[in-house]
Amino acid sequence: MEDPPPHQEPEVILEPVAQALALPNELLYLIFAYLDSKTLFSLSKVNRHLHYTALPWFFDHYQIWDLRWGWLDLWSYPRETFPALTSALFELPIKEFSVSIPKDLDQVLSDLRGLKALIHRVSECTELDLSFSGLHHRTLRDLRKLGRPPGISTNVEAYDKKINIEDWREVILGVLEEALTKGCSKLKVSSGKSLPEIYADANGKWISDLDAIERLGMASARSLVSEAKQSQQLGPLRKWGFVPNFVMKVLNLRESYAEPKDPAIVTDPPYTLHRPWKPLAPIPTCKLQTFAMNESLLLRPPFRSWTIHLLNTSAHLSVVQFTDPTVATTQWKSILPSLTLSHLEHLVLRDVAISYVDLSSFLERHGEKLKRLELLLPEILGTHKIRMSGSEKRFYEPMKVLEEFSLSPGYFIWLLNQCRVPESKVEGRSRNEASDDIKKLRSWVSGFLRLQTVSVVLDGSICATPEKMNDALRRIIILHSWFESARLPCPSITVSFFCTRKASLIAFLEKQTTSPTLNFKTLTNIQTLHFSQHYWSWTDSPGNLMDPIQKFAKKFPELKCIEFSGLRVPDSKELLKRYPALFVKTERDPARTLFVPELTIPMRATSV
Amino acid sequence: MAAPATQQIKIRCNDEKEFTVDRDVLERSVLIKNMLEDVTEQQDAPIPLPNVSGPVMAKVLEYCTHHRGEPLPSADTEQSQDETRKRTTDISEWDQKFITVDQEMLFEIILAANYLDIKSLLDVGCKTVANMIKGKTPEEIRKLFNIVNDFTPEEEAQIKKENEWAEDR
Repeated sequence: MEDPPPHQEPEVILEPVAQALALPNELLYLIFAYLDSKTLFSLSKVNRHLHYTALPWFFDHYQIWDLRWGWLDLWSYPRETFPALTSALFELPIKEFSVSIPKDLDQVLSDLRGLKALIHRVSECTELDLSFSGLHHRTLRDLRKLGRPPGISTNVEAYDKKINIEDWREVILGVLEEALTKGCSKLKVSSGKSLPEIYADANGKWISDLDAIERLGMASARSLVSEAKQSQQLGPLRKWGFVPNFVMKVLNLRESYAEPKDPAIVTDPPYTLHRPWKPLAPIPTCKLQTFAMNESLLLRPPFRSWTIHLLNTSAHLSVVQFTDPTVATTQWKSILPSLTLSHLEHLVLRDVAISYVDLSSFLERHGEKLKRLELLLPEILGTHKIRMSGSEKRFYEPMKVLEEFSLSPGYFIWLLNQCRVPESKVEGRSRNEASDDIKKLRSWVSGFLRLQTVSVVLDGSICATPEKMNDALRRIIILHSWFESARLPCPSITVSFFCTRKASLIAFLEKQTTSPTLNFKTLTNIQTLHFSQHYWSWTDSPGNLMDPIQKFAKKFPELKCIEFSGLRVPDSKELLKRYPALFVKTERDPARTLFVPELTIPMRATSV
Repeated sequence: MAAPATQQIKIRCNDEKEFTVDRDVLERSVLIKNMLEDVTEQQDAPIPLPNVSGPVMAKVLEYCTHHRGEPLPSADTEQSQDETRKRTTDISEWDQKFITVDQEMLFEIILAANYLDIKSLLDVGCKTVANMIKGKTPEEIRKLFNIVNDFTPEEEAQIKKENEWAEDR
């Protein structure tokens, strides 16, 4: 090979300005691929050309947002995301925002401010889904205050310095209010158990609930820690960042602290069943239609009064969902009477510690408009609180427009009690004894003019063993006989196995297949079996569940459909591949999967 | 097709500069490799490369000569390389020395590597540019590459204003 010739001027001389990074965009992208998010953001501020190449590449590369979609879905994203989004010179046609706030504590507040700025600059925000599930530090800080068990090395001191608890209220409400101003119709706030809870003390100064825990005395707090240690509950701490049972104890501690009075809440409500205690003054401009809350953040101080006000004044609010809020039963006693939602049509209460008695008056007030009701409440609370005094016991008005009713088995007992039909007497009692009750029952049941579907949900947290599942299913027979004795057509019934442990489920299914204790012939109205998969309850593929499920399904004389929800896409594909004849892929009622956009594949059980 | 190691190929650059190079050296370029495979008969006419100048080609050939005999990245490995590309901007010592050229030449080499389809050289070039930019402020990048800030005052204001909340952290 020849020696390299001396350097010469190339023929094409580029303009000095463009010279720098005057590479075709495809080559710029190759360079961008080697850059971190911080440098990319710097590049976007160099000149216009780099702004319009680096920024879209940044969004695309980190899967932040695609111009075509119109929604933003952030769950793991670089630190520069919000600065980049808010500084972008091009139009951002985003309408739906779904943001999971990161774990990094010093990023939380600035990202929330960034989100606010971003919502401020878009023309419309129809949906906001805000999740704080990444934050577990709050709990770690609890543990530190309680004596810091060994093995937890998180830098909690840094947390103390970085989080100014007084900012929380301002920043979180800032985002929510900005979204509402921009016409938000669906609002969901998830998690947040790990955020500081603050109260206004007598002097109007905010104090942290941790101070409240301290006031209870370190001795009792320390004994909790050692108790948790003894029961080896600290093991999963490293994995999940918290120990649910232990956290519950901390939360209970919070409850036992006397909270300063919140003026928005009436503790001794002067309401009657059918008349709201509070005159309604809905704000017609608020477009909020759907409000969903997972965990308790918005029903804890200092957000509680804001939330109650929002719900009461949203003129279009028709769907409300509370899932697993760690609000104590005693607090619901005061929250529920504060709420009167004039257009409530769809209420979902899932794993909420509301006693049925407290719920009763709320439902009475909203019964006239409710179309869909999902009451998946911890059964123990229902049975525990069921002992009512004579004066509390009242006849429960039928809901005239109710179409769909999902409930946990224990709720039957409560309903039966409300109609003065003791559960033990529903089966096998004499006619004379029951005739009065049957009259009442008939008139009561016939009041549900539009009821089409009843779903009985066997929640894995309650029906953990095959025996309990069996017991729960027996109660469906009660429901059935209940309608039968009223000589009314029974609505079609769906049995849902929700969050059920796989091993228990298989054991139950197999037992009922080989030596059934249930009289399947009477279960003519069970038309759908529904199996949902919680993301951590069935870690492996549900494939080997299919055979027991199919055998079980064949027992039901009128079964029309088997549904699966919450399956990951590969699982669904696998099921489709293995059981091609049984599956018909259809879209379920979108309203039902509003908050759980999970893939649902109804299975036509053609062979059963 | 295994070409004899001794086979010499002629190429001509856009400035009429010609090079005669061992075939296996030239075949580092997928473009030329494909060209040679398409041509069955021996040809004496030099292969024209209208997008590359002599001085740049000389540099490219220096690179190809050093790396001759190394396996070419196949289509299969390309994807996994894309995976790791983001993380590693390390450049081997020889390549580092080789690519220590002025900016103008650097960009010419990148363009030539892209045109000639020499993936490893293209990577070295892009990594080098990335390393120059990495961690720099917008102003530093402008100085480094002599880029004029062409944002309008309004645009400038938006970028600055929108980030007030972010910069004080």
